[in-house]
Amino acid sequence: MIPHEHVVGLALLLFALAILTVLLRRGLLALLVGVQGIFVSGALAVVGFAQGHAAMGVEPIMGVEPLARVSEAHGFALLVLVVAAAEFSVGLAMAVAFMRKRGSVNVESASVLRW
Amino acid sequence: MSLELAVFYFFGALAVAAASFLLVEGRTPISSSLAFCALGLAIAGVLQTLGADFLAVAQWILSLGAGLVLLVSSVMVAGVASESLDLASPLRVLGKLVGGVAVAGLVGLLLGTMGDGVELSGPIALTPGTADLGQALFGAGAPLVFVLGLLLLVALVGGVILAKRRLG
Repeated sequence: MIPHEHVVGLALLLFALAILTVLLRRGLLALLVGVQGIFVSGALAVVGFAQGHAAMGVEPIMGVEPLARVSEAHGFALLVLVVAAAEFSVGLAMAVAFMRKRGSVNVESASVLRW
Repeated sequence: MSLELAVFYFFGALAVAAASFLLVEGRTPISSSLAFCALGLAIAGVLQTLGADFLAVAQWILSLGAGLVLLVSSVMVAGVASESLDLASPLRVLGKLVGGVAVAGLVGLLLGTMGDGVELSGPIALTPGTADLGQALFGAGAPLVFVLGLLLLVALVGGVILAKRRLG
């Protein structure tokens, strides 16, 4: 059985790398992929915590069976992935519009909303 | 170390390598797209080893689909320099690697689906199947699924409008 601490640790590491990508990179698509990494690492953490929660015991917690708990966690992770896909579609459309207007993928040239 | 744990560490290391590559080398749209594909496929492998088969397949489809759309749009819209697509480019090797991992992942997923699935050993082995997941999603979580479907529709329409509009 894979220790759930390892899964959560991997999710944490990926989350940190994705955050650093968003903060340090200036490429538009790298930012978009970094945000996707944040979502995906969150979904992975949910699955890892569900594994750990299920390992706590076979007795129902607050009337919910262990298998139902893990199923709900997987469903929640799937919803996170769906939200990430929606965000990706809008983000990519904005990126395409930005690239067509500026002819560049560098976000330093985006200064319309700055004050 | 069991085979299951070794596969988990392999895909975990692959995911960390892809995320690190994106952080260090994500300067061009091509490298970002390939890193995105590699990261998503590695995460799908990790989810498969955790017994989340449905999530793994969904992640596999999402990462490859979104990654290819990202790659095509970066080539067609951003005007990627042709030298980054030539045969000698190291990105070409990375692209072949990503493609190989994608095919291997698909074969692994198919074998896992046709077989008995991943058996988690240990005191408690809980691997919900698709029926359990459907029960959770379309039971108490049905309103949330409805809202998310609406969100996807709005995102689709918004994406089309944003991409078609001429700015400035």
